[in-house]
Amino acid sequence: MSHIPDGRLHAWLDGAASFESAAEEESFHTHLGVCEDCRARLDEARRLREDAQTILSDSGPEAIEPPAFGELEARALVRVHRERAGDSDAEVAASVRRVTGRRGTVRKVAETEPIGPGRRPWLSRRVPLAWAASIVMAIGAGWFGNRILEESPVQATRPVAQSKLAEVSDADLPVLEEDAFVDDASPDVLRGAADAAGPQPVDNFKSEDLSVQSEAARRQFAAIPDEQERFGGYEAPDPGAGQGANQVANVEAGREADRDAVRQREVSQEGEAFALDARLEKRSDDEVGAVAGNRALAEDAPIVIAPTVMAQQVPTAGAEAPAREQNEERIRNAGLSREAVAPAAAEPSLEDVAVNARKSRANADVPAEFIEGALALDALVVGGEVGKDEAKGADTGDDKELANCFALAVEGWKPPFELPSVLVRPAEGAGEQDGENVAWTMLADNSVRIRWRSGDQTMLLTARRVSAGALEGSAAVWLESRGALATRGLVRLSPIACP
Amino acid sequence: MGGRAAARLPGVQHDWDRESNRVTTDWAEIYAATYEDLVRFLHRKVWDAGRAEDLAQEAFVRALGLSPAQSPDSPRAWLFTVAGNLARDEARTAIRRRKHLTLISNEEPEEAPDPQRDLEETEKMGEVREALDSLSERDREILLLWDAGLSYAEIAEQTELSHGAIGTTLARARRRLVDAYEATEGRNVAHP
Repeated sequence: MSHIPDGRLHAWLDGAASFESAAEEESFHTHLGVCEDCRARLDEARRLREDAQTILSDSGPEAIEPPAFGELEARALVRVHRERAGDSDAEVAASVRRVTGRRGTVRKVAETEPIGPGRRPWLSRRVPLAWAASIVMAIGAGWFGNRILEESPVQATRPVAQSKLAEVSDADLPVLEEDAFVDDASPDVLRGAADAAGPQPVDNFKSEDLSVQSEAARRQFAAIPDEQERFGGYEAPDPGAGQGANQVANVEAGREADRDAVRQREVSQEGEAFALDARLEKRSDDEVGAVAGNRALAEDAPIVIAPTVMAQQVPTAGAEAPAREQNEERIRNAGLSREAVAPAAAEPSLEDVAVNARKSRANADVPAEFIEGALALDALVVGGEVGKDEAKGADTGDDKELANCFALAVEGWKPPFELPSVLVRPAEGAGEQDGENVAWTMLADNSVRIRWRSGDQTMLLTARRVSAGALEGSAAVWLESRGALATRGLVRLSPIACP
Repeated sequence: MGGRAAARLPGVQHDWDRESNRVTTDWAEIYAATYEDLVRFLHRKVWDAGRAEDLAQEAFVRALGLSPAQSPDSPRAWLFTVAGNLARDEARTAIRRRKHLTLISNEEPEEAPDPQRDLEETEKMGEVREALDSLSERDREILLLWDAGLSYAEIAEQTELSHGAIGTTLARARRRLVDAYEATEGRNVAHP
């Protein structure tokens, strides 16, 4: 047998040598036993292997702390949301590239993906429609602007402007920055794009859409629809709303149309502003994206109690009627008088009034301030129930024991930065305190939502009353400078004497 | 990805997705088993621990965005392919990264630095980097994939080399790395 090649010796040391038969393997070992040269080369290979391993291990990062897997899943979720919205800046830019055919500053889209899986053909079908819609808006606004110009006394200046525009060539068209085209790049770029784009709308996303199999992951995603309901107020966009763009899809076919669009956009600043406003309005609806990043809330977006939460608590008249009839029949069958069975109608307590009013916003007898005030007390009462004393005819005043200061404790997770140990409810609901911005919003279900921000550190906490004065819930924390990267975990609020 | 049979990790649960008629992958298990290896692999490409972690996380985020029908046959090889491509793109956007690092350098460090330790680590990392740079791109890639814990089969799938050629390439890469490193060390000892 000839000498064993170095590659085979290394493969054998790595446990990856393959032998076609048992006889070949036996021959290999026999040769090693008798050939001093091969044994020496085997020792050398062993030394090289160990040295290489040592050298490489010396250069690695010292401590690697993997983030929670759920955090990555949340990021993936947000990304899928954005991609489904189909209107991110990068996607629009990619569409621009397809329309104009411009090169030079454009990177290959598929460069960071292996061939085959990973690309989403449905995505590339939607993007042109978004771009076509923006062209339609620009052309429409431009046409409107022209109508105004035609009717204005400065009409004489138009031919001059048009003649200048007619001279516009490809070279004169504005060159988009490279960043604008990077739709598949490093996290930095992605975060930059995310910051620029802001939260994106979510259209009926289901957690099953992600390939998430772990039980912990399922729990995490299962919590998200609940969060979406909490943030409330969001209505899924009509999927057919953008279909009209199909009528102008042929605009993409020609560069001439693209030039026209650019000219119109230059002429009509009004049209540009209109298009921008339309996009901003679309984004402002998206508080659902805040589940992972909560960016909208961090930017002082208004927080409202979701009407859908209220609606779930309203008993329908149809549901009450059968029960009443059943009760009457039971009384008749037992041969009892109504007075003997029916309990005396109790005077409704103020709490009941508040609860009923909460169930039905149509109750005009109860001022809205009272309803909200009662709601506000629910989560913070440490002694007794809200309105109980008032219902008993006691002198009400300020006899409710409320906790306005809470010690904050995290349970079972480590925030990426130090959270405040004490949370103090501002008198006005929101305010500045020691350089920290705090906003408290009381929710209908004995819960409170607290947004705390210090520098670029932000926490959004939602906690529900679990006992007299104690609240438990979850907090999402993130650094503004790191975009939508969010961590969340359980928190507990315990009432303390205010400092 | 090729038509190879699914590479199965010990303890990794593979479910069968009826709709796509494919084996789906438990990315949580792969994450637990592979994340640190992936970060180390990327660190030797971008030489920045933070960036390496960012890129590793980005690779996993992309993996989680795959539908069951897109689930790769060999998840770990897929991850390292994507991560390697991300690192290559990272190098191409060096200007942007330098801006980023400039911003970071203006931030206050979280812990008091140890100048002596930092210097030693920087020197050591520089020597390893220099030694790795002396290898050909293919040798370096295969050596780093092996160091990250990929099997010969996974390396072969990613690099499109034959199984037998992996051992030969690794033998050459190890020898060159050790020689280059010793030469660098000797030079630094002679001229500290």
